[in-house]
Amino acid sequence: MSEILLIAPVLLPLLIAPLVVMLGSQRAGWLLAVLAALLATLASAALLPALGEGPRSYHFGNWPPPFGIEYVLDGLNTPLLLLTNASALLALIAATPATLAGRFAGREPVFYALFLLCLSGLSGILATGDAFNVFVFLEISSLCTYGLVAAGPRPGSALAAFQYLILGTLGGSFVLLGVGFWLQATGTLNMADLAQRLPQSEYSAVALAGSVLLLLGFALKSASFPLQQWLPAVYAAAPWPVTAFLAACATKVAIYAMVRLALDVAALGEAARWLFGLIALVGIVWGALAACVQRDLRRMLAWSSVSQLGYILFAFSLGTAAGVTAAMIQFFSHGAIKGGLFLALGPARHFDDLAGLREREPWRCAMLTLLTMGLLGVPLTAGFAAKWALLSAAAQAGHGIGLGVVIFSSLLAVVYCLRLLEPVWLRAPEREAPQLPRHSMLLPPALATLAMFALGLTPWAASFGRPAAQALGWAP
Amino acid sequence: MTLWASQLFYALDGLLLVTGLYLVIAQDNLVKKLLGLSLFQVAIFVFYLSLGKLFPGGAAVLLPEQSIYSHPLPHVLILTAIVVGIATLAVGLALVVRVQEELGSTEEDEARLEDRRR
Repeated sequence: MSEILLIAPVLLPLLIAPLVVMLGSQRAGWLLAVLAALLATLASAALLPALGEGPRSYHFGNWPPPFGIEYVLDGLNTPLLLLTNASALLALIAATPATLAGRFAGREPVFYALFLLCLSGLSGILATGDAFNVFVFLEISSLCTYGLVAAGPRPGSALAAFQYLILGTLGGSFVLLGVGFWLQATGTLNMADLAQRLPQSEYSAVALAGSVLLLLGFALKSASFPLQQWLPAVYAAAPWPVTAFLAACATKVAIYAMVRLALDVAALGEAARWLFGLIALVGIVWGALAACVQRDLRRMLAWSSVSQLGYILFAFSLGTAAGVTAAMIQFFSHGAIKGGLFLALGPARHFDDLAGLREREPWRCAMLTLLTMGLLGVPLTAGFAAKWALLSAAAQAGHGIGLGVVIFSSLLAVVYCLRLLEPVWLRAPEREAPQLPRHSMLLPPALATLAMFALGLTPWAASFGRPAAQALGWAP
Repeated sequence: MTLWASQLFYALDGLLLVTGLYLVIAQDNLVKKLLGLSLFQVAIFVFYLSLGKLFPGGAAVLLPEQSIYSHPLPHVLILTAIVVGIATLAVGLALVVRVQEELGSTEEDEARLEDRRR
């Protein structure tokens, strides 16, 4: 039973996706998709209690590694598996057939199937212990994401999806090429085996070239500076539940892959951490500055994501157990806050759309305000816990520049957060308000808001720090 | 095969790779971009196939007349990648059709202008 549990988060959405299409009915398809995400979330939550016992692995077809494909769940990827599945669950609850508003002319089941396959791909990248398997799951999730983005309401959605397809496929191909170089240098694809053989390989230049290509591919997928340009276009074009899902976990999975492959498998150590720190710190400032000048609401939040994802990469670049703890808190904190914000905003895309929200929809206004406070890092919220952990980890490591950059970007966050709150609280409605989703759709952002406070008030996310640092070999 | 021949092979494959990448960046037409992308991927497939080849080894089939085999694993891997490549091309072409339907052009610049105008 517990063996099956290890692969359930990946297999459940994968197997249920075809059923959703076969059912053919909108409502039944939606219910089945929500059920699949719920089961996958429960399965990944059930994996958490045994986190302290060290990594657990599942051998497909009972082939012992390195011959067969193995899934390895350790302290670093198991919590992220829960984050990914939980955000998919909330986004799917919000993506009712009524929310999608009949744009698909009876093809809604295909949308739900793509959603589930995308989820399965992301979970697969997290769970697998095989380098080539990472590429396969990356492409599964990417191909589904292109379809989901193209389902957006704007005429330009297909163009945005196409441009993302070009960049995403280039990134995926770099990953494929990098895995090929690693295979040539070591003759193995199993990550644990690679970790042993890469440092001793007699073709160290080939191994290094493979690592660089893999880093390049995943830096593109994670929208790390300077490869972040696709992210705002995609967030603005996609249907809003898809944007919420992508914002909550998709780029974070790519960051996980970068950290896992570069710092754990290839053990590039100092050099890779220096590079991570550099692109993270430049990205933090660049993203926050760009967010301040955006005219589109979703693009502003997308640029803020570039900045906030930089925090995660910077935390890992410190290379200490405290840094990993800060990264784990920021993973969950940003997932809940940014996912919740996109869910609460719904189809709104201009600042004017929010004018007079205080009177029109007090509940939505309250949630937007609280979540924005979280993004700012006001005490009691998860954002504060994440920033506090990050600042103390940077101070411990004696990283003065990082300390300054994080504080400076927090000040910039005040600017763009106030730009969001100003129309909500102060402006009177100027024109016909856009059709916001019905009140029943307030459940997903409400859950995200509760999660934000739970993460801020309890040390739950911080408790993953030690197992995650152990998984990377940075803590005894 | 001698060393210079295998190096010539890698050089040609690298040329194919950067030709594809150049087309993706330089072409304005969406279909031509996709063709460049496919060329880029094919170069990677060929690179993988070359990894497994051993001279004078044949296919990995148990035959009485050969004792050296080529490594079959890269071939199996690239079979998966080829399928992914075909799927990507299909999705890409479907998206081009929708861009043409909604924005009235398959040239990237014109489509982007049309998107901004709306």
